[in-house]
Amino acid sequence: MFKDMELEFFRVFVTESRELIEEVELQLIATHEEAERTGVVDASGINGVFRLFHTMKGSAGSLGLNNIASLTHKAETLLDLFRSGKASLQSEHVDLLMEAIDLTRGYLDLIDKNNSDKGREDEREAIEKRLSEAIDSASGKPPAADKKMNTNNQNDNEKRQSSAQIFKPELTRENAHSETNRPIVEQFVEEAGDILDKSEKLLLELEKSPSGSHQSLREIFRGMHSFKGNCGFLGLEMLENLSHKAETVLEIFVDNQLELAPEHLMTFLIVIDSLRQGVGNLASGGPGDFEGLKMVEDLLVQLENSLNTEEGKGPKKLGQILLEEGAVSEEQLLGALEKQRATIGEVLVDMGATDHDTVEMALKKQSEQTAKTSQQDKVIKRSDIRVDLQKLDKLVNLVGELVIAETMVTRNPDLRDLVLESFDRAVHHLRRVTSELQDVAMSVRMIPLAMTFQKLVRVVHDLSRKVKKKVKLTLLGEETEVDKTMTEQIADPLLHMVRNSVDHGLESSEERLRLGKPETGKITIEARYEGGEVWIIVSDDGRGLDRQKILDKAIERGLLKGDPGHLSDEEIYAFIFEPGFSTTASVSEVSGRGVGMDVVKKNIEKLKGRISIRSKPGQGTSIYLQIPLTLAIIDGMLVKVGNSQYTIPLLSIRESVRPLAKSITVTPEGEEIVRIREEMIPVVRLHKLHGKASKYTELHEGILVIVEDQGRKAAIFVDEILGQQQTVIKGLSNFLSSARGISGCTILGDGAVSLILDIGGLIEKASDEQLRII
Amino acid sequence: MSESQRKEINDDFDLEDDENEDTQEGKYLSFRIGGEVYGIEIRHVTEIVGIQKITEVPDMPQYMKGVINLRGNVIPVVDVRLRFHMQPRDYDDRTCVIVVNINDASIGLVVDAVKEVISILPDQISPAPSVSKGEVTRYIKGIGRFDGEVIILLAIDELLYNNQIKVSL
Repeated sequence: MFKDMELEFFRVFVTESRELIEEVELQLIATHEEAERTGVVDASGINGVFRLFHTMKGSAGSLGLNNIASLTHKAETLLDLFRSGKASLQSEHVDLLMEAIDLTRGYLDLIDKNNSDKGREDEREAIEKRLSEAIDSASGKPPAADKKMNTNNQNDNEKRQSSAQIFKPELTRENAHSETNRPIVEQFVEEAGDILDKSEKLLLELEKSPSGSHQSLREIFRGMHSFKGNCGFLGLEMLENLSHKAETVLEIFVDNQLELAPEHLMTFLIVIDSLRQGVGNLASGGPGDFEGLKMVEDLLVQLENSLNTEEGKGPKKLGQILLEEGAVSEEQLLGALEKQRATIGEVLVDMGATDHDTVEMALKKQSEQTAKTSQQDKVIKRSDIRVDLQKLDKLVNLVGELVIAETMVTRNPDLRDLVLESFDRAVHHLRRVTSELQDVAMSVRMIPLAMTFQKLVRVVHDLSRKVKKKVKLTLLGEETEVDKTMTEQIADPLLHMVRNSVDHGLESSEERLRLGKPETGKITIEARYEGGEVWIIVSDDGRGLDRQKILDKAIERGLLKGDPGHLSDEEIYAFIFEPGFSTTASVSEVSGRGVGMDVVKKNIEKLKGRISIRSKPGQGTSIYLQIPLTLAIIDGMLVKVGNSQYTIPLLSIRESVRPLAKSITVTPEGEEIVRIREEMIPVVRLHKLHGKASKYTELHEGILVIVEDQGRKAAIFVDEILGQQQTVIKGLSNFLSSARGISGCTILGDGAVSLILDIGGLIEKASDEQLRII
Repeated sequence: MSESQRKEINDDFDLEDDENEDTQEGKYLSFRIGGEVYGIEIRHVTEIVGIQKITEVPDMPQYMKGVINLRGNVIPVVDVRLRFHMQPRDYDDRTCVIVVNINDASIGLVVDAVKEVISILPDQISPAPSVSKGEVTRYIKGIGRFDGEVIILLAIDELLYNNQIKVSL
């Protein structure tokens, strides 16, 4: 039981950490790029990264994951330097932090596998050593006024580390009241969560616009007060102690109408994180404990002391101490205090980075935005929850069943010939609800491509450094929603395609300049709906594919026989998808082994999608992935052949005709061809292909459905058309994966199963059959 | 068979609910094909439904009858009779589909009739006769004795997975 709970904690920790990491990675890259461009490190970006490591360190410590705790601690210390402005963020720092993030990710994988983070100690030590070096060099010459602060911070960190080392003291402890008071506890957890969320939101708003802080602080104070009261009532000692302390400090702010400075803000945010951890522990059956109480309390005491100094009754101010010790002169101190008080806008103007008007404009914009976001914030509250995929599948299935059940009731034979006015109205209502329910259930499994795309930002960032090219990545249509399984399948292909674009597609910076192109290469990844498909297009503005080179290579490898003259560009480009096909002489670290595109093709085929390449020498290459929306509802035409009902995707249907006997031609090989206007189209007899009896055998008795797939047309011979309907595609079991010409199945209104025809596969199968006959 | 009948059978034979792993040990579901009684381990069995409309799937071996709709799940069904190369026989109202779950995939087995759930002690099971090396023999896990009756115990995973690729030409 205990073991299970621990595993559950691990699982939650791993998922949450992964999400955090992904988010933070982007932030880090963005901050860095911003910093490179403008020379100003955006503190909010760094704060996010800092909080990631802080949160992870805390959770890892409490779960006994010492390797992660130690690594994240070091990274946190380094980040703290940037955050507090004691050092500026350099690209080597970013690389180092990225490596730390990667290793952390590796540890998460280890936890997945072994439920422990033991291993890779050498790597960790190496990175930690480099982090320490970076910390030392970055904090080497801190400004005088900050010296004391800095050492304070390091002390804090030392303390934090020691508290992170003490892990898992709570989980095993017996907790008597948690059983009896469960409903009360649950209510508390919910309320506490709301209070903490609200306080955090208010604090973060204060960070953006410090004005009006009294009102917000009073509100936070009230929240903390009731939080403390509840903790006391439930006997949650640790939570009560901390919230009490926080309340005391907040009271000083409120009573003296003090402004909340950024460093105070961080303290409170840490307090809230700790309280939340305690509440989380309580929610999962623990005694509501959390680690690092001492550290957080110390922070609060420190804050309280500094506030009291300002009141003139506590210890002296930092500046005063420094002054007395002769570390700084009075002018320096006054100047520093002046600077400290100044807003960022003023500082920027002082620095000559911008002028007054621009700052005014920006301020106006900011206040507009805050007004807008605070409005939005009020509406959006807890926007998502985590749900097991199996549960969703079950929901979708049940909804499908419900629709069938509805039909069975409303079209029940017992009701026939009855006049039921009120019943009909009720049926109408029911149908509306079920159809809406069906739509919603379908959409639940769909997730935006954003996550998949954003992973590529990091890839491009790393690669462009490795191959020393300047690359700008543009993502379009991230909001395009696809089925969950699809996002998993296309992640790898996208990775390979992007790698190829960076490594082979784009020219080196020098070459680009020589060719008169902008130095920075462009890669665009775009997603959009196109008919019943999702199109994902990866394009670059590089050198384009070398037709002749590919052709030579294909001939050399014996892939091409006969005259290449009649091959279209597209057909030639398609050779790059052959396994092991590579035109580069040298295999680089990044690509060139010819494995990548092969993977792309395989995965896309698995999704029943298609790939096409468009390329212009000197102008770039675009690779199109055209993938049907799996599990989505498709419009289908239901046709009958003998006793079987097949669904033909409406997208592939061009028209349906009842042929005249004279428009049919039979070739000497026995192949039937129908002439529709000026076009000759081969006939596919479904009943023959599937070995079944059909109602009609003469073509002019039945109906020909003209279908098209990738330019190839065929006339499918069916007995009759039953109608059109929206159908839910269901995959065929693996046992049946060898069925050709069938893409899946769907459940009809009467509960029977109808096979969905895969037109491309069907045409191929038919032509194979034809060959066999000859 | 109508929906209501199907549900009734479901309720009668819903084996998933109360049985846990421990009590399932040594229990077998026995069914009849032709003159013989066969048994499969109860832990594989999800439910038993009456025969219903089977949608044929092309390109399949003869014994792979097609797919059925099991409350929104489309599952393949295998005619065990044909799998053992016995003569086909028309389905009647005794014909049942035993739904088994193997490696997280559901599959239906069409049998002539379902008999009962029985416990066979390990010492009542003798190994499969090794006289013939035929294909069918490989699917036999052992021969059990129960109430003076001989029951052929099937290795269900062998039956479904072995040479699955080969046969599905």
